[in-house]
Amino acid sequence: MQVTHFKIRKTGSWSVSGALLLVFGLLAVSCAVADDFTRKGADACLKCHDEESEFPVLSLFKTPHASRVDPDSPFANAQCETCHGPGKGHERAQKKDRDDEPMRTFGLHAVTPAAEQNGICMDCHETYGRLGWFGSTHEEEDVACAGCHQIHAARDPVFDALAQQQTCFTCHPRTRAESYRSSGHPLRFGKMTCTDCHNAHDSNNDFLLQRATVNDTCYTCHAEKRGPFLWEHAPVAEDCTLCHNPHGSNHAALLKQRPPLLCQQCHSPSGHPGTAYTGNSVENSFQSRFLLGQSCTNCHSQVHGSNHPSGVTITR
Amino acid sequence: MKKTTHKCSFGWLTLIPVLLLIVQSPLTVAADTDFSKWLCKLCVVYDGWYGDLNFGIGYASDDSRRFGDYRGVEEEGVTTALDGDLHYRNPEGRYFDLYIRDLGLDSRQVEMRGGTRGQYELRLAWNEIPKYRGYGTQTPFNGVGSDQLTLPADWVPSFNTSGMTSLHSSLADTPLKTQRKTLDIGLTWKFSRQWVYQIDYQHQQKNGSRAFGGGIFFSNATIFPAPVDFTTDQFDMGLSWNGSRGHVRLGFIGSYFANGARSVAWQNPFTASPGTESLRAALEPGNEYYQLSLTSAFALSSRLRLSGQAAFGRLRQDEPFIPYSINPAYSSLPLPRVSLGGESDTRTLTLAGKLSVRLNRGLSFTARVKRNERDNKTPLDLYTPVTTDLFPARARYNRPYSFKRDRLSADLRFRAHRVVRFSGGARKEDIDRTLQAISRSTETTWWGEAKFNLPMMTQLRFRLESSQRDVSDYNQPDDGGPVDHPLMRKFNQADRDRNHARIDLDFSPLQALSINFSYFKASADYQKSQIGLLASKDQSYTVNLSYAPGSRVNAYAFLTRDEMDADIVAATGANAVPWNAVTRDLITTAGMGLSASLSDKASIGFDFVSSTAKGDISVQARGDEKPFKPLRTDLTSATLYFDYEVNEHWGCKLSAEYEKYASQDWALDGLGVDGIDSILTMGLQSPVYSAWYLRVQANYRF
Repeated sequence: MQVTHFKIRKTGSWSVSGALLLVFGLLAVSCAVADDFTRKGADACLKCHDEESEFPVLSLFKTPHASRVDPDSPFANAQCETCHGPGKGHERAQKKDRDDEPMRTFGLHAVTPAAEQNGICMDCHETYGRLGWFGSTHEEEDVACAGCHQIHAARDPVFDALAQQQTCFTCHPRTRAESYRSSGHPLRFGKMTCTDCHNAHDSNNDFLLQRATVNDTCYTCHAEKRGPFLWEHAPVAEDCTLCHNPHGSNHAALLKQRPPLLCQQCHSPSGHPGTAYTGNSVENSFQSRFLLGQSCTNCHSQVHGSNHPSGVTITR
Repeated sequence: MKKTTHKCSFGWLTLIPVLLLIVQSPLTVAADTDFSKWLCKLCVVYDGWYGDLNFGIGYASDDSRRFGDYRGVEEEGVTTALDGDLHYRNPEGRYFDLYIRDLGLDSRQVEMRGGTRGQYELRLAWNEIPKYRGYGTQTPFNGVGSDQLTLPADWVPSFNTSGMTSLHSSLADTPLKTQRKTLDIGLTWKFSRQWVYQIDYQHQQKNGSRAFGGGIFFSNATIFPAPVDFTTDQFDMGLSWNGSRGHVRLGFIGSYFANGARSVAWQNPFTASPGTESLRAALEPGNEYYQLSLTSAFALSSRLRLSGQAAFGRLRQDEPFIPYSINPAYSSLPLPRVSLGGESDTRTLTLAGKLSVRLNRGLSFTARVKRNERDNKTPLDLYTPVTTDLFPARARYNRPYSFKRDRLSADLRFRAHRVVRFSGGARKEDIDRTLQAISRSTETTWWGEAKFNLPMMTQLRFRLESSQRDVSDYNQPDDGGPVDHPLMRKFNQADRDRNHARIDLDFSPLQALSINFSYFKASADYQKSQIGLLASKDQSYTVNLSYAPGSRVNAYAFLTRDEMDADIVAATGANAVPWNAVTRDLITTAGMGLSASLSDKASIGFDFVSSTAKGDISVQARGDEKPFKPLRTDLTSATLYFDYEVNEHWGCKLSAEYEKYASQDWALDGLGVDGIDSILTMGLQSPVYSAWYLRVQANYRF
């Protein structure tokens, strides 16, 4: 089915030649006409959809969408019908106690297909961080904008640090469990949000990240690890997630594996070989120095790189 | 008057030549409804201030540094409990929002924004994050927080910790705490319908101490509190143009990191050889990063969209070097340069196109090309490192690593029927590296997915993904340093087969009830590796229930079980018998919660989570080794709140947070500061606590 929806025309339309428009215009026989709108706009809607209704809407008037000053706001145009579509048929049906003329509805379980819902939102919001929406994972998975956003709420919960993660965890339950691991980012305390790292609307960056790469994203808060250092640790500059699990880990510093095994996966140099540290090593005074406490970082503390002229083994 | 227009159906336009189809303009016909005559009598117009202020006291039941992490309540006692929000609206579109959380604590957070709708917005935010970097820590060092750490005058050095006879009388409780403070200031200015300018400035300050390990050859090491004095200033600005068919954003990021502590020197607590009475390490150098980006998206037609991003960055680091050593014998060794002159260019280019073709129910095709490059232009020089301030080692060149990652992917989605959609795709990624063991790796990935929309709001999805990574010849780089075991294959540069399977079932037997089940398993096999990581497996299942029989009640419950396994092989030398390590982490997390309005005046809610983790490590060399004790972590976390509205303006809020945490870690437990004979540590302990935080607040609404 061809999706048909109303669009608030912006200035600077990319109209091609006048002749082409004329041709298309003559063919546009299926266009809606003014008759499709209610006669009174929001006043027609709010007679039924008030604070006592199943989905209270009056908090909308605290939000940008209900501004009549902003020329791009829905309420500066066709009010409720800007997004929900012309409502004359719905109004007429309701007066006759019929439910056969539903409005366009929004949300996770709405009858209106997600693509159609999102088309309405993106008519105005395909800007800034949403330029990669089309073709993005969430778009391809038919995630509706209103599946996450609550447009009628005084404050959309996704803008609250604690409420936002609950929205994300609905579809990403493992991440919720990871946030309770012994080492993690302070997501569950509301000191960080999912959107500090991820842009749910984009597809330009890997893992829907805010920045161009994983490392660029991590460096936003961990700029001290950015370097370039005199003595680099090659995987650090390449990808932080080679060693760290940013969503949480059972090992210190969000590490994927516990040292010394983490390091022994890649390092077994002559002179400092890959020794088997076992349960016996815990009580072995020579071996325990490589195993206990901070293990390898008892000495190799500058694992992210060293700028000391003698820091070649990242001990300085 | 704004015109409202209608976008028309183009299904029959396939008769129009393809060119016209591709470049068609939004075909619009003005409707003749004059929306300005809609009076909106029932609309609510806010004019003035309103808000919700909560003020009272809190009480923390116990001293617990880990409980205080991020919460800011690490000490037993009474705290202030201040939070709330304040708003202003007027009919002219002016607005102001203020949100305050935990104003009286070290974890305070304030956010405000205001402006005029459709014109501009100003933003200001403040956020503090307290965090301990270790628990139960002690040290004999004086000067904690500074870059010069000294031992007490009566310190008795020794070759091992047991001989440091004045150690215990010198120890002082030394919290390893950092406080991160972040200030954000931002402006968005919409100076026309199409042009928007945005600038955000962020100032981050992170201060405190962290544990730092300083080794002395293979014999000894000292863990001491190193200063943290990080400052990061960041600008993120962009100019956006938004047209009816396309959008463009030109962005700039400038980030400047400065470290107030260039190095840290500490007095050697062990019996020092001449010249090593004091030792010194460099701390993270200041650096700068700039990135210019151009991002755009265009709808070439209703069926073809293109989006892309080009980002060019430059990273610089040119902090003056400290000498090769603090050891007077080597402190004047000539350096090849006074500072690194480090410079690294980053380039990220992304181009994505989505073509939707309507064949019966719908077919869409998405293709994406991406290049990510790090071109390290740091000068190459020969350095003569002084090993742990003891003796000069063989001269080595620094190794400024560069890499280039090219990725091409194509996905096809086909809605074969109303109830089923098939998807599939392929991805190829090439990584070229310099100065590393392999020069090129190529990974090819195939995936397929079937998604079924079944009756009773049921959705079932199967996904399979398989990838194969082939690498060029593995040649250990000769940088003058020690050579790895000849069979070592670093896992990020090794041949690998990886498979991934996933099943998701979403089921809603009732409108208000939804049940989700998801399972996934990912396994990686490094089939050509003999030393290094040989295999890893990660599997997880989750059951999630949510119940919302109306806007007044919301309940949920979940259970997630994760299992992560790894198989590692290593050897002490080329001719030695390899040994094998198998690790397994099992983590079970379960929780439930409820929020409900008991009446128009009262509401209640609770959340409960239990997370249990067990880590097993088995290392087998000869076969008679004692196993490690399991690593254990048990967390029980519960929150409870009760809100009651006494009248139109006043109410009260009660809330409680409870957390019980216990962990067992054989690497830390019972060690103290001298548990390792050759290492003076800070006595980190695995935390165990049980604490709650209660808040009683009056609520005033206006």
